[in-house]
Amino acid sequence: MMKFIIVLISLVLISLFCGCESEEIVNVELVYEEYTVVQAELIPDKRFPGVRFTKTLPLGVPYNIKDAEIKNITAYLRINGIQVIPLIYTEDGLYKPKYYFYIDEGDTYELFAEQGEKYIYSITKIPLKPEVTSANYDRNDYHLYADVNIKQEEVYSALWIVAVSNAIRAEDFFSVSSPGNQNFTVRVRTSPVPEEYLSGIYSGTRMIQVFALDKSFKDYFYTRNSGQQLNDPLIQGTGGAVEWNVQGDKVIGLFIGVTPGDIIEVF
Amino acid sequence: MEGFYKKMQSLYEFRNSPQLNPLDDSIEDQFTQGQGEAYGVELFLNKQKGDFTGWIGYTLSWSVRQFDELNGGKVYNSRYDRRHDFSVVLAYSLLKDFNVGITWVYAAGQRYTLPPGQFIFEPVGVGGSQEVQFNFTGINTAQFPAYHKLDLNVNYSFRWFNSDFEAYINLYNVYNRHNTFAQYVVLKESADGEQIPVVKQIALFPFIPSAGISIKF
Repeated sequence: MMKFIIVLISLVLISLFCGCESEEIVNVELVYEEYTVVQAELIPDKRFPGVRFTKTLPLGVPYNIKDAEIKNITAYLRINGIQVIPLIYTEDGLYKPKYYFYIDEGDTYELFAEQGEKYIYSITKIPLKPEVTSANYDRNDYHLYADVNIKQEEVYSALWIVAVSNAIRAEDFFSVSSPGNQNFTVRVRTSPVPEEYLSGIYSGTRMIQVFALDKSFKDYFYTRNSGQQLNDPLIQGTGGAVEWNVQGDKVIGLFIGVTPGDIIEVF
Repeated sequence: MEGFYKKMQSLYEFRNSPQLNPLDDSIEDQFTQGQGEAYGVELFLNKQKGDFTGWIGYTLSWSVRQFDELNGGKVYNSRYDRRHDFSVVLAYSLLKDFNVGITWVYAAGQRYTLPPGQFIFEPVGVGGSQEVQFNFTGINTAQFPAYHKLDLNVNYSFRWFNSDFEAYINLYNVYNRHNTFAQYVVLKESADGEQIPVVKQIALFPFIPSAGISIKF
């Protein structure tokens, strides 16, 4: 009987020490689907930067632009429905016009591209420079905000800036404000200014910069992080597709006009 | 055999990109409301008489969700959408006080969200360097491997010191199937220092033997 009990206890202990959980890397080759990725950010008074065409790579490999770039795209721009500018492959998937030109605010740019039997299209209007009517500091949660005159087909975001010797700027927009039906202005806010820049010695250095963006940015902004942080198995039920403004079968990306406003001191 | 259909209203999920500002946001703002439906058929066979008893159950089902603010408003499979669910439970009395049992369960894998690729993208408007991102194309687009396991048990009843005893041995997950509890993307550093996104799986409850004695008094 004693032998039986010893064997029994040994089995229980072995089970406990082995643990009930195991972790392993799994092969996910089967889930790979190739998508074409398009990106271009058009900023007024700057040279047209080109459009980058790449493809998605499967998980399980390091990302390498040489593996991802697409070289066989036929692409061109159409400006204000009239002027057509062909784009030529340069390097790392970047397609540029033969001669540089500057982006103008208020203009409409369309992107047409063809990759084999895949057709890609996008359109964006370059927003006008945002007109800020007032800028203030919210002392409840330490963010900056501004009121902006609205224009159709535009949305607005803002960044805080602390203008010390090496100016420090918010890393990302906090929210996107879009015009309502009734008002002539819309309020746009920054993320909270970090605590270390709240003391009196930084008063007079806190600034706000408002950006006007093509209206399609709003959908992108509020879906862009869908599922991007999947390293927590408990939240894996969330996530979903990002809303891009480039159209085409298995095509994702943004081709978007962005107009930064003046940097304004906030008291 | 029976069929079922259930329509669900006022279901809640996290919004896309929930961001809570503790000073002026309420937690309710982080949720969005939607609807869903579940339907299917169930088959159940049961043998209760004789030395050999047991039952077989099979469910064929669908479960879907729809939220205006998630997945572009498109219908998607619920996390618990399991097309097939099959169970067999058998027991046999070898002697009057000695019986053995076997249980085998099989279920289609749970649905979850897995990106079918990675890409680089520059932050819009704010500058900064390109970042590797994952291409999520929808909610619950992937499925865990099927869940299945076999359990065995042996029971022996006897009397000792005027009390009824039952000794048992259970073998859980006899063939040590690594059934998936979770799969998720992590960045693994290669020997060259490169970050490689890989899918990690957590499996719970391998082969677990157990034994015991129960006393009735």
